[in-house]
Amino acid sequence: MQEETHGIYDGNGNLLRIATEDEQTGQGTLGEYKAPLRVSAGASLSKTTFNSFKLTYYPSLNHVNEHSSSTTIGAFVVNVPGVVSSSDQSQVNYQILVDSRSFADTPYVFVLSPECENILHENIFAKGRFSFLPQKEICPLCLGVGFPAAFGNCQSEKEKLGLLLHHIADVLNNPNLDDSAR
Amino acid sequence: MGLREVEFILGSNETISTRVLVDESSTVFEAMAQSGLLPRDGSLRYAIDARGNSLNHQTIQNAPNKIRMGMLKNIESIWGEANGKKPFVSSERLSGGYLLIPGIEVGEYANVFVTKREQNGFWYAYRFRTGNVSYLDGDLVFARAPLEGNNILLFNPKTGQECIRVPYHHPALDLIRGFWGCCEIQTVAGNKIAVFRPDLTPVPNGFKPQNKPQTKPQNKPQNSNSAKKNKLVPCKLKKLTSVQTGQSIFKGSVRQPAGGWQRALITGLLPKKGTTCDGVLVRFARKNSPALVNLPRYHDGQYIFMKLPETGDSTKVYNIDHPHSPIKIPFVIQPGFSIDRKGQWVVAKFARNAANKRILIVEGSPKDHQHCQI
Repeated sequence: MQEETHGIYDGNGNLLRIATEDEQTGQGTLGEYKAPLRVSAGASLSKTTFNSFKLTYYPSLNHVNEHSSSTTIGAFVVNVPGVVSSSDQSQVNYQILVDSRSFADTPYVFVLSPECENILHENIFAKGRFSFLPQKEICPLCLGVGFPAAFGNCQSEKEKLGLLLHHIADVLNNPNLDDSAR
Repeated sequence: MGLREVEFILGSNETISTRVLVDESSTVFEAMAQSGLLPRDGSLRYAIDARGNSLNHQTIQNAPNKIRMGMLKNIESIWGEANGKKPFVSSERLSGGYLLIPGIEVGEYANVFVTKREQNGFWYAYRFRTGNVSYLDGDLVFARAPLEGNNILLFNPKTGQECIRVPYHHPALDLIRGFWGCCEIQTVAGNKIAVFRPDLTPVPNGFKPQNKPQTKPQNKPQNSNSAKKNKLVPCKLKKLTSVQTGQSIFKGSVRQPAGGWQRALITGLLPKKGTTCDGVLVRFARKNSPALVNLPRYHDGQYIFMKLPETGDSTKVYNIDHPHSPIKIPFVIQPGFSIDRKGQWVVAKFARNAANKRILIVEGSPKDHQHCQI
């Protein structure tokens, strides 16, 4: 049985009814709005999920102390091997910083190293300053237009983190020339 | 070669395992790559046996059915965390303490080999690479100058052992043997060498070079033997009816280390109360002669049993305050006593020389010394 994850609301935000199975996937009618029943607003990534990945497939996962507590991870770094660019398939290690302060939403992903001047990968933006880490110029990674939807469809935190890390590796190993960021 | 099914189990989470069918001639590492259990972030993982040794280079034919995957004891994958004294970067260990790694950057992820060198909770380690070449020119390793010869062994990530032999280059190697320091990897005539970098790890002025101990395994039992020899054992003095002035040798018995009591000649200060005391059993009892025991505190005029050394003019006596540091005392042989008694047990008296230093005067053997005729 499918979980009742969405409700149908009026323009004032009042709940009209729980979305039916058809309404869960289909378009809403005029004047009615479909919205999730529960949103884990502002929830960071849990340390339990983080550690389960660190102990298995991503030993390089390392949380950022400034954004983490004893039970939650607000930011983390991970080493991800990728290629230099679409024209140079030699391997390079990218040090990735993930903003996981609100892990319900699609997280922002940055490249900490190599330095911007040495990056040739087509899907990595030029460096800039971001409120998340204002003291350092970092390069955002383009995750593609379809990723937020795929991330939003994940049912659990574990699934989300697995998808995110796999997708980062996928992007870094398969530069997409149609979505050039630099 | 046929196919063989092996099971890989993840050491950090044993609920995760997989079975793969692989060619028997392939290595465990090649099979591991097919298992899907290798880290996705470029971190290292080894197939390890029950004793924690690497199985990566073994063929599947010789591997066990169940292969556990984990990390070797001296290997860690770390992030450079903070700058230490140049050229070291520190990183906190999962097991506690810190690592000091030369030549990496803060924020860099590296696989490192942890050396045996530790200072105040900081372990020295060096980075190795997991590609085709384990060490590139310009890489810094932390190594000990060889105690003999001129080669050192660097960690080989393929075998999981220190087996990459490279020449250690220093213009005066004999002066720094045993010194732990940074070396730069260079290629000379197609071969890798480790060049000591005194600018990064200067040799202290008073450094004393060390050489490889020649017969270390033999020394160990000798030391333990001497420790046993120096152990105090219980003694019982015979009931004393009268003590002569200056008498310091008494009859009694001593408990053998193996058990049982043997008659003994005991020399030293009498216990303040009773007839029991602890002494050093310097010679076991023989068929026709008693055991010889020295009580552990000495005073001038007192006798002691000692074995005349084959060479030299001093002997070592038990030090009750520091049992593992015996006191070295010179001896002289009293005129009239044969100096051909080298290697034999004698009776010697504590006295002072002209410089008021303690010396021992060898007076005779236990068989013929007047104070032993009791």
